[in-house]
Amino acid sequence: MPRKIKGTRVRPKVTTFNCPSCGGPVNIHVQGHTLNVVCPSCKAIIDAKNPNFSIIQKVTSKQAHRPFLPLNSRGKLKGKLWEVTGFIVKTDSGYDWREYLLYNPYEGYRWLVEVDGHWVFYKKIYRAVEDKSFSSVTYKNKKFKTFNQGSSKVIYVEGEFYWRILVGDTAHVRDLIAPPEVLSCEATDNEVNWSLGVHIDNITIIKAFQTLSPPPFPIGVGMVQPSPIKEKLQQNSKIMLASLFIIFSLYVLRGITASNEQVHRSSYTIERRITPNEIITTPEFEISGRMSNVELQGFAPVFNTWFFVDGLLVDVSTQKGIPIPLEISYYRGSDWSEGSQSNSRVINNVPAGRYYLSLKFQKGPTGPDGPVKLILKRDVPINSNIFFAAFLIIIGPFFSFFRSRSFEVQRWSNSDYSPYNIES
Amino acid sequence: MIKIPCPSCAGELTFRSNTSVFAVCPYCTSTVVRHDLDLEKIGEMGALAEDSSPIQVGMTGSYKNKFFYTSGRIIYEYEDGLWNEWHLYFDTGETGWLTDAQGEFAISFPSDEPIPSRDDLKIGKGIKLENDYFKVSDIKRVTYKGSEGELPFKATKDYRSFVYDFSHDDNKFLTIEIPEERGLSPMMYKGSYIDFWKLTPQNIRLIEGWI
Repeated sequence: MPRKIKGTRVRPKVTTFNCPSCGGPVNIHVQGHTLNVVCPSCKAIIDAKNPNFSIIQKVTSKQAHRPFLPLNSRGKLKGKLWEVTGFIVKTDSGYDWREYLLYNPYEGYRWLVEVDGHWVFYKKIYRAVEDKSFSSVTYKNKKFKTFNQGSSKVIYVEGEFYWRILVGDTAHVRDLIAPPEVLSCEATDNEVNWSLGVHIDNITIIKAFQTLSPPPFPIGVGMVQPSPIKEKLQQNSKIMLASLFIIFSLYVLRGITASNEQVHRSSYTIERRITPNEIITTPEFEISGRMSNVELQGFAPVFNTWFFVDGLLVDVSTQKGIPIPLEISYYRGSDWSEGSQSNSRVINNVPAGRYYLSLKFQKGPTGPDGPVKLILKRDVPINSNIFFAAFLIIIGPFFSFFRSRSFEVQRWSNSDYSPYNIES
Repeated sequence: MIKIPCPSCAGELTFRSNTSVFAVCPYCTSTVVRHDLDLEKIGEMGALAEDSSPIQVGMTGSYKNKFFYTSGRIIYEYEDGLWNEWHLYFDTGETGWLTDAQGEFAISFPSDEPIPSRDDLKIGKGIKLENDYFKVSDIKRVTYKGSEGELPFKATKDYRSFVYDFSHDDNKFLTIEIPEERGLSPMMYKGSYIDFWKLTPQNIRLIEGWI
């Protein structure tokens, strides 16, 4: 409501009369709109338009239902104040739900529908287009999928209504969902009414109407209950894509900036028999530039055997060695293979200086069928780190996706039209 | 604006628009018809029943940047209830109606487009007006239960007509009124459903407990 509004103050008029059936007092709060009113004592339905307040229907339901939101209680929802003016219990062959009619003289009517402890806030809407498909309906550019259809039968009423209502009224009902919204259709022989609903969590209901009694306990997943995981997933997916992009950029950048400089290359012919613990040293070579990683690449023409280089990168000035072992093995059967004839090993944080390699060779029963080649490079781009990072980034959303899916499967377990039916 | 004494009680009757031909005296509820500058009493309205509307004669507001004044209303009665049609004078010279039915509000203007014949107006039937598709959603037999304020035609009690309501996918509003009496021409009004507060209304009914 905007501020600074001028006008004429009026007190809402309440009409009171005695129920023609039981004599108890009956009030009409919504003048002009109320067509039927239910006697609070005997639950007879009375024609509010008739000056003699004639009875339309005497009490028919034996079982009393207590509304969780009391009649004429008020609550603020979506920034507007609402008064509960009517309460209806409906059933579809034993499966009951409850509908509360809400009113505000400046806003009109709304509904709160409670099914299995889940709440949906509805507003009447108009639709003119003919639907071409049963499985889905488009309303205001949003696609709603058929969730359920069935019948509804009024089994209990309290309060006042702006339409003619009778216990026993039946309608064909259909719900189409696009969580957190739902499009509902109620059709009788005479009319078709559409309404657009949105999920409201029960904490909001309790806060709005300040009820002290515990709300109906929510069972399962509500028809249009928003998936907490899906929301997170969508958020995380954005972060994931951004991260992957950054990583990919770094990967490209590293590929460009890495010097990938070859500092040493040697080739060895391996004897059939290797003298154990024989140490081969390479000539000295220079590793220049800033501190960087060093990669030892090896190639050995092995076939169904292995070759091992027990390498040591030795700093000439300090005579300290950094181990740099490298195994090369390759096995192949008729329809399988394992390993490769080449391999590499990276060691990090090697400062610039003069070095040589101290090498010990070991081999399997059969030797490599040709010379073994070794190459030492500095400042190489390391892709495995990037792939590992990418894997870590993807794994979270990957699991969220499965959790989100299981939430949806649970939601649709109450539907006859579940897209997840195949595996159930 | 002209002021003329009521032919029945001599109370001052104000006509804000030169196009108003009918008025209900706010003091004695006499219904009067204006023949230029003199008034003829044609009946009495009696007190109108209390309702829950936030609107009253004299309410001002704006719609699509046009300022309006609420000059009067007609109360329509049908089998399943009542609703109000409030007559609006716009500062552009246009006139329109503010429908006030079961808490729903719509503003509409008389349409010059050809009105479909009654045979084409069956529930569920669609019609196309310009680029809009409407579907007949409701047909009501109505009577004027009462009126107040100043109106552009004789809105006497017990006037009978048929009202056709339409639904539209995007909150547009269409209604056709066909008088029961032969010789009177049908009217078509086109507009849209609106949120009451979007009209930036002033001089409204401030209902206690709600404002």
